[in-house]
Amino acid sequence: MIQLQNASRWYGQVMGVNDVTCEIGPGVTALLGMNGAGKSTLMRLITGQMQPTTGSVMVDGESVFGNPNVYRKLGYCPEIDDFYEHWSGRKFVTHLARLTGFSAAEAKSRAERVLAEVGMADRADKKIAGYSKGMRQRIKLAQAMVHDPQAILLDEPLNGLDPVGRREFINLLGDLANQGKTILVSSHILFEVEQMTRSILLLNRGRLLASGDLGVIRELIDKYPHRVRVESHEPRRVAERLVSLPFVLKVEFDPRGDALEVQTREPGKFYDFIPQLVLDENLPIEGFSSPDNNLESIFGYLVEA
Amino acid sequence: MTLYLFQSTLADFLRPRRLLVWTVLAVVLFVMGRTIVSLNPSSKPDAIYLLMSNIILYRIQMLAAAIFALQVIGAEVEQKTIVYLLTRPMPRPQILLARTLAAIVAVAFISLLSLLAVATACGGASWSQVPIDAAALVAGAFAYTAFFTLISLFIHKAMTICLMFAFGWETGIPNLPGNMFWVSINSYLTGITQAAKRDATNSAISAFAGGRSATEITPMIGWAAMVGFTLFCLILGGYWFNNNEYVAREDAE
Repeated sequence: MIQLQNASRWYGQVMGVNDVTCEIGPGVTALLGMNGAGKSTLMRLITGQMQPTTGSVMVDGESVFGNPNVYRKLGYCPEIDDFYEHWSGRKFVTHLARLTGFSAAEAKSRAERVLAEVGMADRADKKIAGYSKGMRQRIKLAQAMVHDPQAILLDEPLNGLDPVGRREFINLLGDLANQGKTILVSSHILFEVEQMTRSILLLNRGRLLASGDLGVIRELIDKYPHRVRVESHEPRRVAERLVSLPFVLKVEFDPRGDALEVQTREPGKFYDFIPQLVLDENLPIEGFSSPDNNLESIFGYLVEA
Repeated sequence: MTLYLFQSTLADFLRPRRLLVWTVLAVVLFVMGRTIVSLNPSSKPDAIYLLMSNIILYRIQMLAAAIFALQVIGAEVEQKTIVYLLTRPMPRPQILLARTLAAIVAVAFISLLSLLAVATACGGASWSQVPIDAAALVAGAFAYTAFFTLISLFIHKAMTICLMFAFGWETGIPNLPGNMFWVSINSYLTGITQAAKRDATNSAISAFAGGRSATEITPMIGWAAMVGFTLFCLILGGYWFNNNEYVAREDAE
């Protein structure tokens, strides 16, 4: 459906996207990268708002920029939080349906349907200026879906949604993917992406660092010692017990004396074992977290790899 | 789609809250006209009408044209809502044309509203001059709005440039020595109305309004120039808008 061939985009001397080649087909694909990685630029190239400096961006074999045929097939939910604030959500979605070429009656009926799908039917008559962040996200999604496009591109769509809203949103994306649609979702949060899909494009400083199944990334992570920060008011006692575990490589004390950092090659086993230590051996562990469960660490691994 | 976009844009441009400001301005013009007429009982009302139409109406039109022309695309980019327009299956030149025509109609409407206010205030023989002034104002609405829209496609935040053109270039250029008046839109509009010829006194104020040029630009030349200039701006604007990117820069990653 979507093909990028050696696509690069420069902003003067600054590189937005560098030599990206990939294909995106039906199902949910996540575009993962830190802020400034080039996700929005890539989205803009695919939605034809920008032209690649070099290379090509095609949708169903057609060039995208300024091509109305392609826009019929694409729905775009931008990251921006800007609207015609004095309009109601219903008017906004209906207006954009009309601009897609539907008659007044058809646009109205499509808007009704899609507003119900995103859970905004009962609040769509209020002015957008009075909407919460979550409501604005839903309206943005509604306008992207109103013409029933083959591909929907969502730029950081979960920003501002509460946990329930996130769950509903993710379920909705799953339903759309099950209908055979191509969904591209950008995010800078690995945890979010894992809930949506296994298929990822990993972008860092404009370059496509990895693509494919999320498991590949996870395996890569597992090649490196995984760090876990363990909080305890008796760090020496906890450290003594932890170093005796076969899958623990190293233990370091936090200078403040209320925590220690453990390195392990088998984080799964380690996490499974911690509750046992607390319950059976009454080890004073008050909390634990992993600084490695973030994109920065993953990019660090990938760059080294 | 084009007709719908034109209608919805026009409805937005002429929504009551926006229209209120221009209506108040028309009322101010009316009050001003009545005041001048009552304070100068010896002056003919049509002379006062000429004075006000020459000096004030075209300036109001230029101001309205600058404001509405920048709403066509510039404000959409500024407010970042351009993305919703540009990701719909509508050719870019059609988007530009529909929105520019809506701005032209809005500017023409406001100009005619102001003209009616001035003519009503002055009364008498001035009504006989209203049709030709109305025609010139409509021509001006096309020319100024198309030109300012074109500028806004070239330059980010073009309001300053548009206002400098409106109140600097258009006031000063027609009265410079030589044939500089040929490069002023206002010269052609005054040529259409033949305002200078009607203004027997040919006063300094009339010259300020671009009156001098009108003695050399015939109505035929005035109409031809305005039609040609408007078409040139619309075609060049369509080409430019079709081939260049309009993205809210602040979000660029």
